[in-house]
Parts: sequence; structure tokens; C-alpha cells
Amino acid sequence: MAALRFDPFFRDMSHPVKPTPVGAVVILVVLVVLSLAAIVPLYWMFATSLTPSAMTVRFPPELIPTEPTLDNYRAVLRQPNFWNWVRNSVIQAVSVTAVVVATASMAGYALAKLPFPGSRALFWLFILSMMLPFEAILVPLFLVVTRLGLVDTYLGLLLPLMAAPFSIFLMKQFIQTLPSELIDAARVDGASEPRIFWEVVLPLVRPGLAFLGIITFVAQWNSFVWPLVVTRSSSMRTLQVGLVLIREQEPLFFGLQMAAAMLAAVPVIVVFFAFQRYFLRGVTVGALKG
Amino acid sequence: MRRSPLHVLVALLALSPVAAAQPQIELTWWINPWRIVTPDMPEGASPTGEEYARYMSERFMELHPNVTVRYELVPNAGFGEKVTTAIFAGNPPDVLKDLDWNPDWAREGLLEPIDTYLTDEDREDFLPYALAKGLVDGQHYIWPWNNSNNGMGSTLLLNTALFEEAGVEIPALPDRAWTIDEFLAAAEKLTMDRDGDGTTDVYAITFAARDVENMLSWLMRFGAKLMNDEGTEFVLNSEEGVRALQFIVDLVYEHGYAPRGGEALDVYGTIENLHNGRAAIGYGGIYEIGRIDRYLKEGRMANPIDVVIAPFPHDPAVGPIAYETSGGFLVFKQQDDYKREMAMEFARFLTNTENIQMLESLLYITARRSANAQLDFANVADYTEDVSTEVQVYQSAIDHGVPFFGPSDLDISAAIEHFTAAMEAALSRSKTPQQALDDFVREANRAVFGR
Amino acid sequence: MSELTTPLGSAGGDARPRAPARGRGQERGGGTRGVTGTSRAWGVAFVAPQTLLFLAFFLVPVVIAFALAFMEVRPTRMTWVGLDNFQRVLNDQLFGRALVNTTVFTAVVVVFWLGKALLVAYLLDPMNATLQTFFKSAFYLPAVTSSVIISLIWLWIFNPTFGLLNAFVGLFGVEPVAWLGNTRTALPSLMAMQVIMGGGSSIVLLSAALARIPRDLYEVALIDGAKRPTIFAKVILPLIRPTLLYLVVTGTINTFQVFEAVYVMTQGGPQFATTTVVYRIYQEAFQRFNLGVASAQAIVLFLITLVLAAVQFRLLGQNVEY
Repeated sequence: MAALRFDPFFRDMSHPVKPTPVGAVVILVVLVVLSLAAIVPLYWMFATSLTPSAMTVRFPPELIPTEPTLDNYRAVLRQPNFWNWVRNSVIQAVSVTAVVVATASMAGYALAKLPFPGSRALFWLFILSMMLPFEAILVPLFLVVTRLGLVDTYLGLLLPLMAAPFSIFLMKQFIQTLPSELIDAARVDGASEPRIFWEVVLPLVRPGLAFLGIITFVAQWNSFVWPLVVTRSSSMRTLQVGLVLIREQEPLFFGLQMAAAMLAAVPVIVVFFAFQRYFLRGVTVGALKG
Repeated sequence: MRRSPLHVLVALLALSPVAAAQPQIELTWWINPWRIVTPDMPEGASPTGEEYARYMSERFMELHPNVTVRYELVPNAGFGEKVTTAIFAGNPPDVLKDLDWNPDWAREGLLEPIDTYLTDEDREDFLPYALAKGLVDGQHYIWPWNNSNNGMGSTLLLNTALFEEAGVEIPALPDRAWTIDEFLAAAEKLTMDRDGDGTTDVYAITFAARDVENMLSWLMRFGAKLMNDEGTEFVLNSEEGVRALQFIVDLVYEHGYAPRGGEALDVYGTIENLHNGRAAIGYGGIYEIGRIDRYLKEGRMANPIDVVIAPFPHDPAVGPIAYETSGGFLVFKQQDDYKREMAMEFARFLTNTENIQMLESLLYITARRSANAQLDFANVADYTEDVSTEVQVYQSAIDHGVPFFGPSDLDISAAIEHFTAAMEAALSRSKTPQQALDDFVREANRAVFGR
Repeated sequence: MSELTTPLGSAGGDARPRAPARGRGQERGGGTRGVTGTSRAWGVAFVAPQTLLFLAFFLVPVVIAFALAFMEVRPTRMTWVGLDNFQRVLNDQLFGRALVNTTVFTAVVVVFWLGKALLVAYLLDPMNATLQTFFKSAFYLPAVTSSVIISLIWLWIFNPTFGLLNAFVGLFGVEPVAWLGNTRTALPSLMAMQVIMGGGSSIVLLSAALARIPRDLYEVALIDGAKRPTIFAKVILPLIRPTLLYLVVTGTINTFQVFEAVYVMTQGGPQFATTTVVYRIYQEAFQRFNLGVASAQAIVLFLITLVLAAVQFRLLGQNVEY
């Protein structure tokens, strides 16, 4: 709720239980301390990535690099498979996101507005599966992919990640809240279901689609366990796995590790800041009552 | 045993100009990075490991135009996992470097025995323990290539400047052998507090719990062994083993010649301490001298250090002990006869007298006597002028090599994490050496032998 | 590593976000009038792609998981071994150790990280929108950074010789500590890292839940002369209970799966002090390739998380309206 007038202590003046000015200052201090604890490590990654190698092995470390250099970044780009890793991560993030957004919204629409015999049961099956952690099926999934001959291939990497019960659930929630009149009217007009879906439903749930797309993209970019297990050749690894490989090969080269980490983190941070409001707002929609 | 006439015939056919009439085949070759300098590299360039794989593949393809060699550079970390996954998926490589091999593969019929492909000359020329490494149930499975490793477990690196500063004599040539007592005396002097502020600035040496080869080497000093001779149980908690571990713990806590916190370190921690002058003694052989050179070239080391090689100190009652190991290439089971011939031919190509000498640029010794006789290491590290002395010291050190990890046809990898845990416990003093080793032996026997 | 991958506190490193606990009693929304047989057919068609993927890459593996647990799996053959694998798991001291480590880790992390999230959301609630957005973004930033990156950064921070943390505590005269190398500090260090870096999405969720509390409830309480603690206990807590329950359950399930931190930072050491259940399964399956035993371990893990979730629902789920 917007403040009615600007309060020097940043308080929401319409809130019934306002802190006193002193209280507000205390709150600010606590919040700053807690948030700094979380942000400082990220800053440290940034600072170390610009610190020359010889300076990182110095104690105490310097908090602000006095001789910043791009050498670490150059070293990262010289890593034999770095661009392969980036390419693979991009392929994973983009294709899985595209497929999930498309198929989950379709499935969500069907479960919300196109009941068929068994759709209820199917929905409950999806819900139940969300309770099962991924790691529990990691081993048999790996065996299935192995026997299909898909280890170390794109299909093997991408297909299992596209099964997304939670996304279905999310889209169902979004679509369920849509007013029925528009859809019923379109049906009466004789429009086919695909057309209704494409022309009526999708435009209305665009924020939900955007939100789903963003969180899926971020989750895929950051994923580690499945790419670790299913990719084997150096050229098929994704960026997150590559970061660990870099560390294993050069455990003492901290500037290199941090520069690589920066390169992997920055795209997502940029996405985050660009779509901030979707993140912060959309997170709650899925949790609202249907 | 001579090669059968059939093999000779097929080999001749393969090499003949009629090769164009031969079927097109593809061989897959998996190898970890070996930073060998190939003749086609630009001057002063630093090898990444890929050059060697590419160069050898191309040379072989020139000789056999109908064969395509597809090499795969597999990083050290996760090497074994990758191979095992491939086996599970039913598509292992054709030729594999044995970095992380499992003797059970031979027993399960996954590998091709090489005995019918070894000539009499080969059997004479390959070092016996190198051949023996690939011996499972009476048949050989590995074409020997490199003799020994990068020196871990066999030799130490001594920082000459720090030795001089401390007033300690480098052990004498020709083999720089020194006893444990001599080492102790040196360690005392090498531990220095330069500015008198109460904190040690230079330690004699570093112990790292996760550094399996070197720690085991220290534990064997007084005659202890990891396993009994038959390879049926772990016996490291013998009286000699406990005494050795106590010796190490005392060096850290009683005398202070080695820094505390070794329970958190791995071999790279010891390398770091040597490189930045915090320890006067480090680990490794000629390859590690090459590492210093490489780090200097890449700007990762600020101040160069000058090192010489010496063997681990020995107990006069036991004699010198080094780590006997070697490596080579194995060939996976082939369905197609011609492909098998070519895969063997490729492995032989990699390990023939001429090509095996490429290891020289890496300052490694080869597994062939004839090749070793021709090594002079002339084209070596820029800043180390005369490596030949070091090479001789290293070679004489590894002459005393013994197997560290039991019989080569036994897979004890499940025990290694318990060994590391025992070292962590001892170096952090959360267990006494006796307790640590007793626990290790119990867990290792259970993990490997199921009892 | 629950909070660190997707906004809704989801799976350890992979794209399987979790659902809210609510939503069990789904009411059918409107828009179903005029649904014909053709529509039903389209319903099936629309649901088909995801269902097929689900079948192939979820249902089938689940079924196989139960089968694998009773077999010994070698490259060339699989043989039935009955309960052998489960016996091995139950007798495996290291697995027991992993269970203990993981339980301690989960209990401590969930309590502190939820406590921190609640504190921050509570403190933020009476502040204005600009400040709220600013801090929510700040706390959320680590949540979009991958667990791997966070592990690498903290591995560097914890470095015994050159790390930032030892420089920091050195200012207070404390001797350098081998945070990850000392059996007593290794697991607590990982726990601290989780608590500090996590909680971003919980904060956002709790903040939204707090914002939904009707203002008149506060007014009424104030008129009755209630002080802050009473307001918190009587007004706020009951109304955010569903959200809290959701966060506790999903947080527990996710934190129990902790893997990346161990894999990247400690590899289960020192002396198995940081070995967790999922890491043990990974080692068994992908380093030793005992897929049968690993499956048995995974079944045990699944049963435990099921029990945990059920217990939490029972204890905390009373009087919660869905």
C-alpha cells in the first residue's frame, strides 16, 4: 500500500501498527545487517574476479582490488570448452522453458476448463508427484536414459527436465481464476478449443506465462544435478557443471573460479533485475487460494 | 610367444598401399590431459593436453587413411565415472588411458587381452612391473606407456635457497639418499622464524590428509604396508604403521616442523606451500619442476624458486622405498576382427619406441628400456638449466619402487575414503594413530572384502 | 539447497518447484458450460504432451526405482537379490551417519532460515513500498544465484589460509580456523552458509501473507489495548499459519536433499562429518555404480521425507483452513 505522504523513516503511514521513529531506525539497521550478510559474498565474487592471481594468495586479502585486471576473465574464455558449456546451458534453458510454458499452459487449461473422464485423477497424480523430490528418482531415471542410449545427448539432458507437474499446477491456478463468460461466449460462437486457448485464454494469463517462463529459465540455468549425471563429454557439460570442473582442475586459482562464477551468475541477475516485478508479484499468485 | 602369422599378415595388409581397399573404421580414444609438447606447437606455447591427443590421432590416420581416430580429452576429475557410465550404456571407447581402470572389467570380459600382440622384443623391452600392472588372471590387458607418475610418493622437492638460508646441506649425489634422522635434523633447522615474532615463517614440510600417495609413502617408511602380500586384507595398523603415523603427528605438534591444519589440505595445499616459500620441502618429481615452470610462464607464480629432487628419507633398517606405478592404454572388447587389429595397432603405435619418447617433453620416464636409453631431456624447461642431474636422481629413486596399493588386479577404491578419513583424524588429533589406523583397517576390510 | 534455485523454494538444484500446501479442495472454476465431447477430446489432447513426458520420465522411473532396489545391477546383467540391498543399507554405518548429519542440518537450517524470513517480513511489513521492494530484492538476489556459484564463493571465503572469513575473525584476534577442514566446524559452516544466503523467496511469500491481513483486525486489537507481542500471537500468527506450514514442509523436504554444497565444497568430509543422504546415494550410484544399493537408499530417503511431511502436517496443520 502506497504511503500517503513520504515518511523520512520509510514507514508505511497507513499501517495500524507503525513503529516509532527510533523503532524504524532499529528496523533499518537490522535489515541492513542481514541483507549485507547475503550480499557481501556476491560482492566478494565480483572483487576476486578482478584481482590478479598473485594478489589473491595474500593474507589479509584486500577488500577493494587495487590493481584490477581482466586476466581472470581472459583465462576463463581460454578454457577449452567454455563456449560449449555456455551454448549447452542456453540450449537447456531456452528449450526447456519454451516447451514447459507451452505444454504446461495447455495442460493447465485442460485441467481447469476442459474436464474429461479421469482429468481429476490425473490432476491428483500430478500433485502427488510434486511431493517426491527429484533425487529420489535420479538413479532409475539415469538407468532409463542410459538404456535408451541417450546418455551424453541433448535429448537425454532435456526431455526429463520438461516433465513439469508444478508448472501445470501453476498454470491451472492462473487459468482457473479467469472469468467464465468470455470462454463460454467463445464456445457458443463456435470457436474451436485451440482457438479459444490461443485467442482468449493465453492473452489473459500473460503475466502468469511470463512468471512461469522466468522461473523456469532461472531454474534451468542454475540446475546442476541432472546435467552432472547425464552429460559425460567435456563438450556436453553445462555451465554450472563446467564451473565445478574448472575448480577441480585449478583448485588454487581463485581469480579464475570467481571470474567463471561471475560469467555464469550475471545473465540471471540481469534477468532478475529486468523482470523484478514479475518475480516479486508472481511468487504469491501460485500460493493464493484457487 | 610370437605373433601368429595371421596377425602379421593382417598387419602387413593394413600397412600396405592396398589399405585403400580396407574397410573404413572409426576408433574412439579416451585420454586425460597430458601436457606433452608436440612438434607442431608454436615456440613457447603452453600445452593444454589436447595437442598430444590430436597429434597422435593425426599421425596414425596418416599411416592408415581408412581409419578415423576420434579422441576425447577427459578431465582427471570424474574420469572413472565417465568410463563406467559408458560401459553401462554399452558404448565404451575402443582405446582408453588407464587412469582409473578397474581390474574387474577384465574379469567381466570387457577388455581385449594383448598377449598375442606382444612380440618377444616387447616383453623384453617393457619394464616388468609396467607390464605386470595390467596382469589379471594370467593375461595382460595394458600396453605400458608411462613409467611412474609425477613423483608423488617417491621423491621430494627441496628449495635450494631455503636450504642455504637454513644452513642445511642438500643430500649428496649421486642419489641424494638421506636417512630419517638426517631428515629430522634438517627439518629442525629448516623451520624458521625469521623476524622473531613467535610465528613460524618457514616450515620444513607440509602434510596433507587428502594427499593419499604421499601420506601412504610416509606411513611405509618403517616397513609398514597397506595390504598383506596375498592382497587379502589390510594391515596398515601394524606396529610400524602406527609408529610412522605417530612420527608424522609429532612432526606437526611436538616439533612444529610442519604446519597444523593439514587435515584440511590436499596435495595442492602442499604445492601451494612450496611455491610461496612457506615450506622448504615439497613433493614430486620432474613433472613438478615442469609445473613451476608452467606457473611462472602463466603469471601464476610471483617469485621463481629453484628446486632439486631428493628421494623420501629412508630408515636404514628398511631401505629406500618409492612408489612403483605406471600407466598405459587398454583396449575394450571388439566384435569386429579388423577393428580389433586396428585398435591394437593404435595402442602399439602410441607405445612404440619412437612415440613413447614424446613423454620426454613432460619430463616423464617411459615404460620401455630402449626409449629410456635415448632420453636426454635437452628440450626441457626454460628456466631450469640442467635437469639431467635431477632426472638421474629421480630414476635412481624410482628404482626402489614397490606397489603401494596391493595387487594390481584388485580394486580397492572403496577403501580410499576411509584412508583419507584416518589421516584427517590423525592430523587433527581427534584419534590417536593407533585408533585411526585400527578404524581404517576395519572399515577398509569391510568395504573391499565385505568382512 | 531449497531456497537458492527458484522462487518457491524448490528442488535441490533442479527445475521441479514445489506446490503450496493449499489448494486441496479445488473448486471448479467457471467456463465449463457448453463443454461438449469435442471439448473433452481437446482436453485429452492438450494434456497429452505433459502426460507423456510425465509417464516416461517420472512414473516409469518411480516404478523402476522400486524394482531396482531389489536387484544387483551390473553392466551386463541384473539379478534379483531380494532384501539384500536394504540389509546393506541398514547395516551401513556411513549411511546412518549421513542420516544423522542430514537431520541435524535440516532441523537447524529450517528453524533459523524460517526464523530469519519471518523476522525480516515482520520488520518490513510496516515500512513503505519503496523500502520493501528494495530489501526484498536484496534478499532475493542470492536466490537467483545457483547453489554451485554460492558454494564456490563460500569455499573461497572459508579458505583457511587466504579466505575472507579468517581475515574477518582475525580482526577480533581469533586464530585462523579450518572451517571446512575441522570436523566440529564443517557442518555448522555449511549450515551458516545456507541460513545466510537463503530465505529470499520465503521472505517474499511471508511478506505477501502479512500484507493480506485485514487492517481492521489490527484496529480491533489495538482498541482492546493489545501490545505488539499479543498482536503477533493473536492476529498475525494464526493468519499466516498456512504459509508457514507450507514453508516448513517444503523447506524441510528440500533441505533434506542437500547435495551441491557437499559435492562442491567438502566431498562428504572431513571424516564424513558433512556426508549427507543424497551425497551418499550419489556416491553409491555414480562413483561405485551400485545402482541397486543406491535405489534402496533412495527408497529409504523417500520414506523418511514422507514421514517428515506427514508429521509436520499433523503437528502444525491443525486449525489451518485451506
